Amino acid sequence: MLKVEALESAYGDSRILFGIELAVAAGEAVTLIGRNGMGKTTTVKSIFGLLKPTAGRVLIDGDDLTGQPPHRIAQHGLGLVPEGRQIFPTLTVEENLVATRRSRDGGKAGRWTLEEVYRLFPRLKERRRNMGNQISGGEQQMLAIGRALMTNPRLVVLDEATEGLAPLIREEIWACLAAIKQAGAAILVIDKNVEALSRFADRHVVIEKGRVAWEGTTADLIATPEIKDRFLHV
Amino acid sequence: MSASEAADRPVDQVRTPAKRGRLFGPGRTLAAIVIFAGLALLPLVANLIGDPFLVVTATRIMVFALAALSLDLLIGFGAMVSFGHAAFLGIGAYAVAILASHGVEDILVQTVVAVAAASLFAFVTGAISLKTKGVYFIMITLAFGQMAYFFMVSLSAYGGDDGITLDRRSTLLGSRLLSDDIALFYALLVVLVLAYLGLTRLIGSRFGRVIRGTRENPARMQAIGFEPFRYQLTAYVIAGAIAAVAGVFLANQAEFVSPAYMSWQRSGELIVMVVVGGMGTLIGPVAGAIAFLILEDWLAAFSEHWKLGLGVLLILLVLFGRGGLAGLAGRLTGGGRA
Amino acid sequence: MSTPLLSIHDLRKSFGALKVTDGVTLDVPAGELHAVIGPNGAGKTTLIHQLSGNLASDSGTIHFDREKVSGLTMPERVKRGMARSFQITSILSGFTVLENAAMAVQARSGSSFRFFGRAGAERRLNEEAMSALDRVGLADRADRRASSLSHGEKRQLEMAIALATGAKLLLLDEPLAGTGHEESAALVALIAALKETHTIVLIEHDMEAVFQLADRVSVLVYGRVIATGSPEAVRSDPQVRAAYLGDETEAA
Repeated sequence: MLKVEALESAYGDSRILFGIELAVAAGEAVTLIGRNGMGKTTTVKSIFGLLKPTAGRVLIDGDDLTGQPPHRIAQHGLGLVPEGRQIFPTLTVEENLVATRRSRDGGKAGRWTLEEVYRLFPRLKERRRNMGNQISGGEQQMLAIGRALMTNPRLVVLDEATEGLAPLIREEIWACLAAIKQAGAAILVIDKNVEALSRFADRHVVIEKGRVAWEGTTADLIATPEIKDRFLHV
Repeated sequence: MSASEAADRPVDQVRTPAKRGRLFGPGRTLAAIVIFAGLALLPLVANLIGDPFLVVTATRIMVFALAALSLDLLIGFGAMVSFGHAAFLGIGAYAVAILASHGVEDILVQTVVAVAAASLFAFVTGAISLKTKGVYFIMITLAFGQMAYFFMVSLSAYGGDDGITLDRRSTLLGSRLLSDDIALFYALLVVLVLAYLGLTRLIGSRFGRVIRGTRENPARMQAIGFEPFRYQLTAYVIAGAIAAVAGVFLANQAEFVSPAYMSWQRSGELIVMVVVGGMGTLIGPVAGAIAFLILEDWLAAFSEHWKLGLGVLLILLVLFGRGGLAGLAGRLTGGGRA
Repeated sequence: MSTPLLSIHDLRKSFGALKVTDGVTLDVPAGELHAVIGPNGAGKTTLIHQLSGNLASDSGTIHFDREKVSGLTMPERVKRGMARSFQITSILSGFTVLENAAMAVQARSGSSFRFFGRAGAERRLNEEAMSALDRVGLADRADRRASSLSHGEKRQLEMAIALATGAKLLLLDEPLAGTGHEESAALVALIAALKETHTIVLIEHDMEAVFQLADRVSVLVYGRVIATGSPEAVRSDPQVRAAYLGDETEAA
């Protein structure tokens, strides 16, 4: 449902992306991996219109939405869980969740309601009256994911899903991502731990220096162990 | 590269003249020559058309041209927007008035005292103000200007709010030469031209480069080993000193000195002259002062709400006339900024 | 055993509760190219800021050429021979390329409280500036306005300016940032050439470049150095592996 063709992006004349090709089918989970500074976040920003690409196309369900403002992208069914979570600190957990909620088009009740999100993240229910900045990092990440889910997206994009979180929380979040995929949403996730991601991810895309350096299924990845060392490790 | 190729490149990429390394293109020099030559001939013209008052008006205009010139060093080249520059005009003027009231009438002595007093004031207030940046700098210079204003208002010994009237103009080495309007006019013109030439030189000097570099990118300047503060303070003192000299002539031209010379409105007018004329061009602010004061007189003849008209003109200029008068002249003559 | 040119001891810096530099200790001998790498948020740029003098540390010391520099301002450190380049290009856009370099030479060539001589005509400043430009390959761009350079050329200019300060130690903050393949290769070649005459601390994400250039590598994670050594040693260090690959199980 998402197709990225020959995408190029820059910050002023600092060029970061040199022709990214990427595709995510409905219901598919794809990882975007690679070392820092290689262009993963820039790719996400370019898809969402937070950074206007200098060349290439972003197609959602066949519609060309390259460089459209972020709210348009969101209206087409993409939900972003940004790097650094970006919780609204002056709203409570519950307010954070409902502030941007949206049902599916056609007025049909979306899969993700407040109750459903609370079922996925019971901890958020416990803390629902806490202010956004009065919860732990892990809880904030869950909140950010829940908030994106409340817009009932068809594709959830996570930029650094588990960075800086304790191991147990990370496991929880990966389990939740698997559940989200089960519920029918497609996922595009940036994260470091390829093994954990492989439990639910269908395909992996390696970004190096602004280009796709490798692409393949989880099976392919397991068959070529040097990929990890070459592109992810030092 | 052929001429047509060069023409197709964006202005940015056109080579800057390497050999001369000029900061000021030929257009600016031409404008300066025209303006100063015009001023030099003005008394003759005044005589011809039988309007001696023209010389008096022009003298007053040159006072502000000199003050605006000094302010351009700060605003145009140093990115230091001082909203208290009129204080230095006032210091210069009061130096004349106060010394004269104590029997010291020689203009050279008065100028030395004026410059010394202004430099001290600039050093102290500048040292404090330059610890701040941006809007805060503007506010603090405004505050210091007001301080000077209210100080003189409260000094009833020297006229306070009413100001002091001078019995006569300063003497020059014992003679009463400057009592003649035309003599005063030419004396000031010489000073103005010297200041213009001096500042032009200054801008291209080592010191000038540091000031310009600091305006452009202070972080970069520090990263190559320059402490911006001491250079900025020096520029601040130089500008204040020059404005004080303008004040000396102001006192002589008007034969009257009052705290109003130091008001924030006056400081604001100086900023307008610099911006309207074209910041960072030196000759622009001179033209700006001329334009502003002529317009002021002219519009005042129409109505007592002339300030409204001036305001509208200013807004239009700021919105549509990039680079002020100098920028406009530059575009009309087909040259860009060198 | 000669004293290292740059010696960092237990450097600490916090922003509120966040420990950005958490006890960094590091020695860089003269002539070495020492790369500092690490995942996002590791505090690499903050470290460079503390070394160059952009940011004051909370505690810890920095010694350069046997002298304690931790309390000195940035211009003072530059005078002693430590120069930096910026991750986001920071040049004098309105000046020519030559003037950019000449300013750096001027800073160390006598007083700049000279008001009348034309600085642009000073032969010695221009010659030394040209030789810095020559070293980075920008000599033919000397008369152009700095703003008209391509991105890669601007990165080269950043380095020329650092060279023109006459520094012994270069602190390079992601010099390859935002460059394409060719520009990147050119810059790597340039840095390799500079290695012969300078000591360099290099922050980079481009691992190929790091492995080509670095004599030693330090890995910074959450403000601490978790490994220092030759590039190969660092690569095989299990803690580094864990940090990069997120393998919690492998962390000792």
